[in-house]
Amino acid sequence: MSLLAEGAPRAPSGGLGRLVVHVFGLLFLVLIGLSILTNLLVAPVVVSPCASGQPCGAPPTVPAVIRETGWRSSRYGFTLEYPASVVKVSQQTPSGVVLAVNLSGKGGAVTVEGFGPGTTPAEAISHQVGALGGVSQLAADKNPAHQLLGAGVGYLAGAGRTYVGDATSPQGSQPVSIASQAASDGRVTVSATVVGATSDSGYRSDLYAVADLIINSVRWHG
Amino acid sequence: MTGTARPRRSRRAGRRSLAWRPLALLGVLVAVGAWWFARPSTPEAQGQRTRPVLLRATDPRTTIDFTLVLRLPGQAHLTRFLNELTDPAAPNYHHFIDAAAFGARFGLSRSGLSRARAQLTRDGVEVTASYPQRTALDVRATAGTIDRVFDVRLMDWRGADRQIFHAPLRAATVPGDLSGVVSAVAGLDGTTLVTDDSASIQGLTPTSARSVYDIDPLLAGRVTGLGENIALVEFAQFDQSDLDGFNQQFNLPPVTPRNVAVDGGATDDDPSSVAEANLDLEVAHEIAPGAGLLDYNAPQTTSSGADNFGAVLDQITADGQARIVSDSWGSCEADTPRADIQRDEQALEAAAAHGISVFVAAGDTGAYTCQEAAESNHSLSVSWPSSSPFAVSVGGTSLSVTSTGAYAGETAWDDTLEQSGGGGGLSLVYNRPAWQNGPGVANQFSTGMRQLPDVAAAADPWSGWDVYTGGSMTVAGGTSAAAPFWAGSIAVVAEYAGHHGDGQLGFVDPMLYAIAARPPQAPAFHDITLGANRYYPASPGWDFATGLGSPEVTNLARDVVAYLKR
Repeated sequence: MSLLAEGAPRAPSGGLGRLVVHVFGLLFLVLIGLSILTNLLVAPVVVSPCASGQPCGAPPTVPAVIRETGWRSSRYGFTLEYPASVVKVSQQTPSGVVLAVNLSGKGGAVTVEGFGPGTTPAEAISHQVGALGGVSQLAADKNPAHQLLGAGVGYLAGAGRTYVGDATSPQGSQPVSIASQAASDGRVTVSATVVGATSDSGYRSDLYAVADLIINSVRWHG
Repeated sequence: MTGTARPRRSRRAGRRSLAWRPLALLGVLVAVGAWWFARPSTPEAQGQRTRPVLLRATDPRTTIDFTLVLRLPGQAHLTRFLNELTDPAAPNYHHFIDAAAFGARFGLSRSGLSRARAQLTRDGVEVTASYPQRTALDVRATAGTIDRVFDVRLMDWRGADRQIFHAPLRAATVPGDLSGVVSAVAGLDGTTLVTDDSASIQGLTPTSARSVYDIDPLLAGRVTGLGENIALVEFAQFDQSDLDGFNQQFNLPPVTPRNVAVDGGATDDDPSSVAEANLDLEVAHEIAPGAGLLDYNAPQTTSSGADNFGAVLDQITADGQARIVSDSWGSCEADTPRADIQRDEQALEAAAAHGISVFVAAGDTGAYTCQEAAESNHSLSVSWPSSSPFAVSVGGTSLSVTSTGAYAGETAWDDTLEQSGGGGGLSLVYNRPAWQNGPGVANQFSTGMRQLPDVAAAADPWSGWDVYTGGSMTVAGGTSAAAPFWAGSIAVVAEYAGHHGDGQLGFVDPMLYAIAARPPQAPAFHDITLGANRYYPASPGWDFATGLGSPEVTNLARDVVAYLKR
């Protein structure tokens, strides 16, 4: 404490001065302690290489990371990641984000949004898809080949639905496929809806690969 | 997670924020552009596939190659022998036998075989190949002869991909004078075309793969799979110049796989099929650069469209040059004719008796393998021959690495929108073998049938493997990559065990389960507990999405040595 006191600002006067010095010293110690703790907590997990002839120890069990660009919902706390090379944030609020996907000049969109725990995954999907603008003739996709098997978000099982519609733009109208999934961890419900043109299966596959990556990357309380 | 972006100033909050979304989506959709409008919507683009179309009766003069599955009079003894082979407490533990001994011990008698050959000749059926393990006879006959002898009506069909194949209207019947010798007629139904389990997007270098799966310490100790041969089952010819390019790119030692042509050798030169063969060889080589590679290649299908897996595997066993086999090909188990399964299974049993481990890709459509051929097929299903109790079924993961290339985590490969994921589920044909036991194996989905996969490794194309094919680098994934990865890993483990005085590993599946069930002093597996395979979730211990998990190869090598020295 004395060493710290020497480095602290001089006390204004008398007993009050000593109190200020002690308080500052204590704060300084707390700050150092906190910084050490923070360093320990956020430092990257270092996996020691195995030495030949020696046991390697337990394999690392850190959660998966994808090394993409991250986004966090300030309202609900969930996070997601997206490959910035082909995805840009188009719009965002504290609850959700619209990600524009650009694959060799061909577009698509992935909307991810949080809802309160009172909203079921099915309700979240209905809400999100019902609010899609610029899409007319919206109808359930009855093609069984397009049914979403194993639907969910962030590796939590949930609900999934597919739709077809026509997107209207200045160039005219074009058919689009819409796939929406949602899941809940009991505290927040997250829905993710992908919209893309239907007429090119290769493009759609690429769009879905990006969308799967984003949807799987959702972590519930990041 | 890196680089979490700060949320920008919000315009609205909560659900009302949806008010801006229509505009945003419209903007994105506008960006799709006029490019789309001139493109007609086709059934293929919408993911629709057509059922096979019946064309006509097969021309009776058409020559067709098919297979007669031979009875194994010693099947009960064989089952007991195979169980004892992997049981350290049994007298027959690791008493492997070669193909000829297998035939003599469990197969038909020579005189019985001679009588059968004579009868077939009288019937107009030519025997084109036989195997010392006496599991099958490859035969050839005209369609007219087949119709007459085996009481079928062969028809020509056009498949979803416009290929023409033969298939009978009803199952073949073994005639009375052959019924004591032949148990089934395989290869007449070409409905099921085998598919390779690979997909492509972006990559994992050899350096990173060896690091994340903990192979580096062994390689640093010059344990590279030397003395081991890995046989790869291929239905297309690999490209040596691509393999050379791969080795040059990553500074790996040169390798020239030995070409072993079966049934005339592979003729498929489609770039995607060649890429599959290249992927298999390159992944096996980068993991076990000291191991020899044997390229067993055959036409993908017989003339009737059935797969050649059993014939290729019988050849591998008969040659006796390799103890490790990798197969990246498979078909929907439920749609594979039982006679074909039986033919393959006998080849797998003979391989196991010889001490061979066959690593087989579990498929790339998650818990819905049969959806690969028919997108509307939503039944839970698995891949054949991955579902055999005598195959090591290899599932798929999504691998994450740090910026320095170190292991950061793994999840079960689960892409709902893309309809892809690591294969896994329950066999409809085979029971769960006694050795398939351990934490997590018996769970809420268990029914007593064979459970797969056994193990897993990186397969998600997004985190896939660097591959050199068609003269350039690309990236590929799928359990196609995971199977040769495991084959290479076991080659390295086998050499390490050899240095420690241990002999042959044998069929490794029972040993892998026994090791996984032991207290984890040096855990041999990354237990993957996150993700799913579109139906079955990953969970602690064994699970239907990733099996026992992916390997910590150096730990596995040490655990294998400890296990063998018990």
